Amino acid sequence: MERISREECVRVYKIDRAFFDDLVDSGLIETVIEENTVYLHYDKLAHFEKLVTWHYDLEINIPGLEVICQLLERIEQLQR
Amino acid sequence: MPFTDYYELLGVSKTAGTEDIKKAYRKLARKYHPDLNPNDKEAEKKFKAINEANEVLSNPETRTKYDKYGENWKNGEAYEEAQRTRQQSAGSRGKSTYSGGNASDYSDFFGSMFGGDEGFDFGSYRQGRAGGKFKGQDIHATLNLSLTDVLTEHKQTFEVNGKKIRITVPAGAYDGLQIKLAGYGGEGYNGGPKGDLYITFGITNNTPYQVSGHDLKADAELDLYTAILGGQKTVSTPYGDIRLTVNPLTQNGTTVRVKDKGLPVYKEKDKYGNLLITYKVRLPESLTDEQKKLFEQLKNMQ
Repeated sequence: MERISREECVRVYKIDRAFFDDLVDSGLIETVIEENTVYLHYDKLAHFEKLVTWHYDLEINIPGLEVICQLLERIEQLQR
Repeated sequence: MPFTDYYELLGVSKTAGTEDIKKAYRKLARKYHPDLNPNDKEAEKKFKAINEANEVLSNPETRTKYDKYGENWKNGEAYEEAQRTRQQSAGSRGKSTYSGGNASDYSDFFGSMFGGDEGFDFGSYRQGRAGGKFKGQDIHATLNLSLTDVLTEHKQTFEVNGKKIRITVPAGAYDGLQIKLAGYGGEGYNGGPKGDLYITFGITNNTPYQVSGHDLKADAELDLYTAILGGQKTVSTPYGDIRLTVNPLTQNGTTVRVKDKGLPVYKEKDKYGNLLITYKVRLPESLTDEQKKLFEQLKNMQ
């Protein structure tokens, strides 16, 4: 199965576990839970990496990330 | 290349502290980051410029050089070093020789040595700093194919931003399917990784079939006699013609399922949808006297 656990994500991307959980709570990333372990599928990783960059490098908070994602989605729809 | 005032670019004063520079940089990065300005070349250029300004001004060593030499900060130190060497050399030959020199000689010398501003390598600034490293821009491309193209796996070459890319189009690729080619996007910034290439498939139905998920649907005309008495019917499928056995008394609108003659299922080897054939019974348009008589006989038998 192509997926990465939350703990591995936190370690590899050097992020706070709370930030990961906030992304999940806000619906910005989708995870699956199996045997009490939270996993992120590889096909969601690119999106997750962007959120990490925007948050840690550009200091954008969770509500800001939500707005950005919605607007980018709208741009994409309009461009189709 | 015109001189870029890094302070002006970041909108800070020459006395701004490190924190102010960082703050101004982040504010502009939020505005011009390529992720947030998809397909905007101007924003990308601006983002590169503010990154460069931040790299120089957030490093005390390069900032000091920039403050000291301004436009010539990139080769200012080398200029000073050469000037010292020349002074020493001139001293050994006597003052008169030195006075005959011209400062513009140095400019020519350094121009050829460093290739001017444009030839300067910013490589040293790309290294070492963890911050300011950004992944390159993701590129989104659409690959338009016909439905018959995705019945089997095949190779396809296409061009994105002048670069030829050869990919394997999997059997069963469907309209709107997006695949990611990691590292095929734009160059990274400040040593960051390359962006990714996202290909969205646009599939045009060039077949007489109606698509319903993995299933295909089509109508087949059936003459009255075969519908009543049963028989054989040849129908076309995307994989060639096949003969179907028609049951006696097949009603108009009856749908039969032809297994595995639909679309291939994406990423599931040897798995296919079905072909659904709906029979449309066609009545004769004219009858001979004898046929008419026989139909009347049939009617009277009811």
